[in-house]
Amino acid sequence: MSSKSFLDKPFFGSPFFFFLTLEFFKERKKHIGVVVISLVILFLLSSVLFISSSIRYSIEQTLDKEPDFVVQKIQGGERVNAPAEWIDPLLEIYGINKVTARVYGRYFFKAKRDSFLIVGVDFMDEQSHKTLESIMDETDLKSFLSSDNMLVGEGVSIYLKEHFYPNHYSFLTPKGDFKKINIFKVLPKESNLIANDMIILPMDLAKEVLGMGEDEVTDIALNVPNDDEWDNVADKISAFYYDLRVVTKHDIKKAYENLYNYKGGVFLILFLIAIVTFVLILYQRYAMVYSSERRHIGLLRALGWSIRDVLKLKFFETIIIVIISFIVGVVLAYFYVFVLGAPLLKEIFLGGANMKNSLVLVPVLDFGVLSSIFLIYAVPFIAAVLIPVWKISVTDPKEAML
Amino acid sequence: MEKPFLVMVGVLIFMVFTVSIHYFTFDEKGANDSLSMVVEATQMAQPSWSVSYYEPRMFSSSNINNISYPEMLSTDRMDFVYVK
Amino acid sequence: MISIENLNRYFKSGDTSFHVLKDINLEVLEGECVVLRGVSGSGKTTLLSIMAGLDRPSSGKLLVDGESIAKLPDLHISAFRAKKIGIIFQHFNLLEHLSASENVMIPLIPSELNMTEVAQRVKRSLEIANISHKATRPAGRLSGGEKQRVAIARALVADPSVILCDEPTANLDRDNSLKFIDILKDLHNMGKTIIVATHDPLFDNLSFASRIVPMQDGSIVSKEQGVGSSE
Ligand SMILES: Nc1ncnc2c1ncn2[C@@H]1O[C@H](COP(=O)(O)OP(=O)(O)O)[C@@H](O)[C@H]1O
Ligand SMILES: [Mg+2]
Repeated sequence: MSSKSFLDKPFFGSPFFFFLTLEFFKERKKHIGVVVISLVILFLLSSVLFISSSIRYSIEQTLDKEPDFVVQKIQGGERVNAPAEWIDPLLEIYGINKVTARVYGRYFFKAKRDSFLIVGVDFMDEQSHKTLESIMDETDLKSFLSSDNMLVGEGVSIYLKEHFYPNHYSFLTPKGDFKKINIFKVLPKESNLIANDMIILPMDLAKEVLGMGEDEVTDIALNVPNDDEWDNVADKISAFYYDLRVVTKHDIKKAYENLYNYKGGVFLILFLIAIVTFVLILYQRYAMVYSSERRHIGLLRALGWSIRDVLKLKFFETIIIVIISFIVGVVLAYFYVFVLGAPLLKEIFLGGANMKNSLVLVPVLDFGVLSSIFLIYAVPFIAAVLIPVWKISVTDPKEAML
Repeated sequence: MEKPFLVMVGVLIFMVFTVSIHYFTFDEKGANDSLSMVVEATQMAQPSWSVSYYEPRMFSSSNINNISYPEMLSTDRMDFVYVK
Repeated sequence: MISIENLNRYFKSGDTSFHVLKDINLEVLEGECVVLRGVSGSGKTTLLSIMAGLDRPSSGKLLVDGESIAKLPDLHISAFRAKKIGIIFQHFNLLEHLSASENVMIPLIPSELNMTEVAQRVKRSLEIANISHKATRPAGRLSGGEKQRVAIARALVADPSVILCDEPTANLDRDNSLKFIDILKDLHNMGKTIIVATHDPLFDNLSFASRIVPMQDGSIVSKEQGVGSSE
């Protein structure tokens, strides 16, 4: 490397540190394989965990805006449209403070390959009015309602553009007529997790496109502010009609928790694969240390190094390798997921059968998970080096003479 | 060889530093507000799974039978065979 | 300085046991230069290993400066080696990817010295071994004679009182062998105790060697001979 040696200009550090860096860089070929493999595994593992914890986090953030109960009409085990007349009796139940009729459904495009989610919103309602203020002010709202307009998610907007509908789309209603609706605005990219395939229409228009009757709704959402009333209210609602199903927010929350929980499902499999790979690397490492380090360690011992000195050198060497691969792997995963938006890998989480979703992943660092990855990686790795080194060191180093 | 080592340490610290900058300056509130707005206006909070026409776009805990692939239909679904 | 009494060494492999060193008795005084002379397989290397604390005797006594090193725990044996013993190995045993000076510094790393002191010592022993001009060259790209001199510098750097050489001239041509003997003479004049194991007849007529100890089949044969007497 450099022709300058420490003889001309001794470094301020200790001789041990000098020698450590020397061994580390001049023998980097020895380390590169194991660093690269560990890097790849750590990168994949942390990418997957970053994506799942980010999605989970975002969903959880919306949880308190979600309705507490959804009441659906069931026929033959399937949900069917509910009559609008169900709404009034619900309002009378003590403890319920907000009842919203929801109108939504999927609209299939082109031989059913792709679909949008059409959602009807009552723009006259003061609440939704206020909520949408950030993207539509008073004048916007007036012009929005003056003709047939829609708000679309980013995915829908891109999809329609690709199919040569940059400004409007003509929906085919179940009655057989075309309904031309203009794209009024695209919903912000940040809402893609939920709104990517969404088309928001005024209530009447949505019903027309979905072919629903005036007095029909898809289902009914309601809020019960007092948690203690939940069971009570659920019982009361269920007693109303025999063909009615109540889905609570608890059920949904539980579903999400299971969904991207790193302790189960694909994550468990991924963890197992990662661990098995680590074990293989470590086994290889162990064997390599055992065969190739023998002479080296024997020589150091013959030159007056104690077992402790040898272990110290190897320990620091290993720690450096572990820390480098961990930091680089995790940082690369962070950039890949939160800066680049996790291309390819994201599809595993969101699916890729319908339109593409270029959602914004909110950076979430779960330090508990990160440190357990570190421990799962670092402890066996260090052991796989130090145990053979120790075993070699404690035998008398007479091989050094041969 | 201390110099390359210190350079390496510097690079690692720089990497961690840029990540922290990105992490702490990310407009998390803006992103959450956008989501909340859609949820509040539509009362719909289902993630926008990119699913095929025969897979449910929405689900509740009762119809998830495979948590690693929640969109998959359960095998006892009959509407697959019979027209609704 | 070094005193060996009734020392035996067996190697066990499977059921068979090799009796490699048989009843060795040897006394080496401070400042002496002793040549262990014997054909390959006569047990010279094994004996040197035991003297260096790299191997342990199966039975018998080994005292260095009055201390029985074979019974010491590792930490003390390592400290003993670091302080008292310098070894010049048969195959030089340099770390090929490190430069000459970096190889020479290895014995000083566990010491308490700081980098400046280490650099001074390394410089001085490179000068003694007459290899300062190749200090920054990777050991892998040195010639046999140069490697030998780096190995000498490394053996000297911790200023040990005993220098053990195992077949020092086996991998050298005649010219380099004579140069080596010159350096050995300097070391002798510095007052080091030197023990050379060799089968090279060059060592038969050393002016400064006090004794030649002939070895055969793991034992020291006949009476020790003075310098100059023929076998
Ligand atoms: N670890 C060992 N196991 C079995 N036999 C050994 C071992 N080491 C050395 N020997 C035997 O001891 C004898 C002496 O070896 P050595 O001391 O290397 O002789 P020299 O250095 O004089 O050539 C040889 O016959 C060799 O085969
Ligand atoms: Mg030998």
